[in-house]
Amino acid sequence: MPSVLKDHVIVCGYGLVGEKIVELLQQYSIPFIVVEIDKAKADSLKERGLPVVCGDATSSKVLKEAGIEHAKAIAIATDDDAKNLFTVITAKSLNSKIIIATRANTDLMASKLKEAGAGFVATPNKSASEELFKELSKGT
Amino acid sequence: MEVEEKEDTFNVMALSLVIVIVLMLVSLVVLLFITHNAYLDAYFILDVFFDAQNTAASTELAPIAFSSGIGKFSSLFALVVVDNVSRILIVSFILAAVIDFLSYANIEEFFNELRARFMNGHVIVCGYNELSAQLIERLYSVNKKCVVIEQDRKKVENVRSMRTPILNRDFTEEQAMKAANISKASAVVLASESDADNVLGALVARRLNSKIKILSRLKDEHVRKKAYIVGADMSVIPEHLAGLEIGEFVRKGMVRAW
Repeated sequence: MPSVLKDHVIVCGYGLVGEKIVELLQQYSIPFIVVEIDKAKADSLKERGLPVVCGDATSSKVLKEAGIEHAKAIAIATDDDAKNLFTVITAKSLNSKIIIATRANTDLMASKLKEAGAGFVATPNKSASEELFKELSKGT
Repeated sequence: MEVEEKEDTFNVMALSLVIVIVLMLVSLVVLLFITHNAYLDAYFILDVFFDAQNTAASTELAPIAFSSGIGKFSSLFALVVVDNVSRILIVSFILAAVIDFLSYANIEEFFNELRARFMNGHVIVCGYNELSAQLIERLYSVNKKCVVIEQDRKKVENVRSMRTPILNRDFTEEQAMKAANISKASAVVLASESDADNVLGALVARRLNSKIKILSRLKDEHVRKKAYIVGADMSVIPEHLAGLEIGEFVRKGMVRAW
């Protein structure tokens, strides 16, 4: 199944962030494949009919299995900054033209991920504080 | 006779000097052991010096000492020594007790609550973490005042700031919200990492101020409805926001690539 995909998006990690990414990709009918390290979670996704590769996204073998050479983009969504950084580097080495978006827990890590080759880095706390601030600023 | 008086005067001066030095050393040791406070040590050394000098030179004692020979003078100064040492001990113990009391009563907490009481239209931020720290920075950039309620002292140890009063309390308790002056606050942000605490905090905040704006951070989508039921006006799930941002970036990138 993974080998037949082309111009798809690889979503690494199906947690709170990954779940939302998949939701959005499905909404726009963009082809994707999920890489999930947790076997139980991967099995559950398979049961739901979603394309999944069970394994560690930092591994070249796993990313190749997910078809990274033919993928258009990779969305790295685990909550481990170090793993995300490692995955960015691995993905870039396997496909230099791939679009890379990831998450970081701190601003410092966000800048490191960008240096490593990520095109976009989302910081959950930063996004939330922005949203809360917008709401608090209303009517003042 | 004149030579004898000169000798007496010299002895008196020498003895005074010895007494002053002894008093200084005694006060230093006593204060170091009791207060551990260098400023107080310095103060008491000066105080002792002043007292010893005053006593020796007072109009009542000096003539007796100078006219009655060195023996009587020595006994007189022994009294001065006892008098000063006892003063040092008494005042040191009183100060140590006051310092102990102040640290027990947590004077910082008291002043923080006092500052909160005088605030109006402020934002109460419940829970201190990366998210709330960023929010507080943003609020201060537009001169909006905040009060932080965080029970875990370790979390706020390194962020003590003159700008933000921090109350070391449990924000799910009414007394904590009241201490943060919720009746005069414009908004409450429940930013802790526990959905249950945030929902409970929203409930307490709404009960205490029916007009206040209540915003909550959540982790679980299913809790959102509960938060609104108890009175939250808006909620955010940081991870969902990040997911949407990443998804949107990827989608736009795909569109451009095609």
